Amino acid sequence: MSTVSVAELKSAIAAALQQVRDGQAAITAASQNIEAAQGGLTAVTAGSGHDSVATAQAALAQAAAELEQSLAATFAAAEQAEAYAATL
Amino acid sequence: MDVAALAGSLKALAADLPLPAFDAADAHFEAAQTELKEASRESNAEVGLHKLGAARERLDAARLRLGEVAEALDDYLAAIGAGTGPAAATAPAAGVPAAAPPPVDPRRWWTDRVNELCDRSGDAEPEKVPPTRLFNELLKAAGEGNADAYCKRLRDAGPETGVKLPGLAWPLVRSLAAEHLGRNPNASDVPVLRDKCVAKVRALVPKAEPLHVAEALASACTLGVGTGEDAARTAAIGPVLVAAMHRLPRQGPQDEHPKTERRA
Repeated sequence: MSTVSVAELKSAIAAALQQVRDGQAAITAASQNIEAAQGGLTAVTAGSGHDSVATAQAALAQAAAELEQSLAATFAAAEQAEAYAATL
Repeated sequence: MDVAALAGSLKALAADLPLPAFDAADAHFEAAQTELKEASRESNAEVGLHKLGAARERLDAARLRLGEVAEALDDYLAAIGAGTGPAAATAPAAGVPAAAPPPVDPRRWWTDRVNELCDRSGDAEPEKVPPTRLFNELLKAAGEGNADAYCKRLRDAGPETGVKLPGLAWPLVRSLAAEHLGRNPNASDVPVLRDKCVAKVRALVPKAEPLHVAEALASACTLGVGTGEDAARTAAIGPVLVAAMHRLPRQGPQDEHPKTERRA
């Protein structure tokens, strides 16, 4: 027999969704920061052609791509959680 | 922009990488997972736990990439002789935007630094040459005691090729030191080798101090000790040090006193 009420379950899911939204906001801010870093690095090292600069630029681009995919996964997670809450 | 300004900008950039935001996001997702686990304890329904797990894995991957960024920036700073001090030490305070200095010209910096080290002047006439050819030309100039040619070759090669010289020089220095000593060199040999080579090195690179020659020898002879933070200085010392070592007499294992000069 369940010891948790539907209201409590919905409340827990709502809290989880809020955490997800806060995390998404942090990722968005991080993405903007990385975009700024990419621009800054290009401006500061313009024309250097150094391998390490290319490595840094590539790693920044990869970090941005990973963040995008992380963000996409959180949206999918939120959809599933909302769908579950709707069945309660 | 001078090297110090460039270094400041890059260190500030590294310090501003959004690792705290990653930590914050991960903490939120972990908390969300805890809530969802509790909420789905009595259900088999998919509530997003796996997706959140995947999101955190991607976040970890992005964190690794930022680590690579910081490492690459350190490498670049070392390559241009700007050192690898802690990024946070020179980063502006949080919330205070760093002034954006104009871009540095690495070739200009290289030219100025090589001129300074060689105590000469003149503009570079950029010439793209393979590192091995540059190395051989510098060896020839050093062997002939031609300081003008030595400075010019190094200056014209620019930083892209110049920074590769130590990779060619150090194995030879170690090999020549072993021939001279009659055994593999170690750290205790550095002062003696330095004293034997420093005059010849400084004849072509006057601003190379004995300490710098010792650092180069230590790097070559002990396999792994750093050579300081000035890429141009390290590059300038390498070939002339090889030439100086080449002139040292060979010594057998039981005879550590000089015999005959190998070359005039």
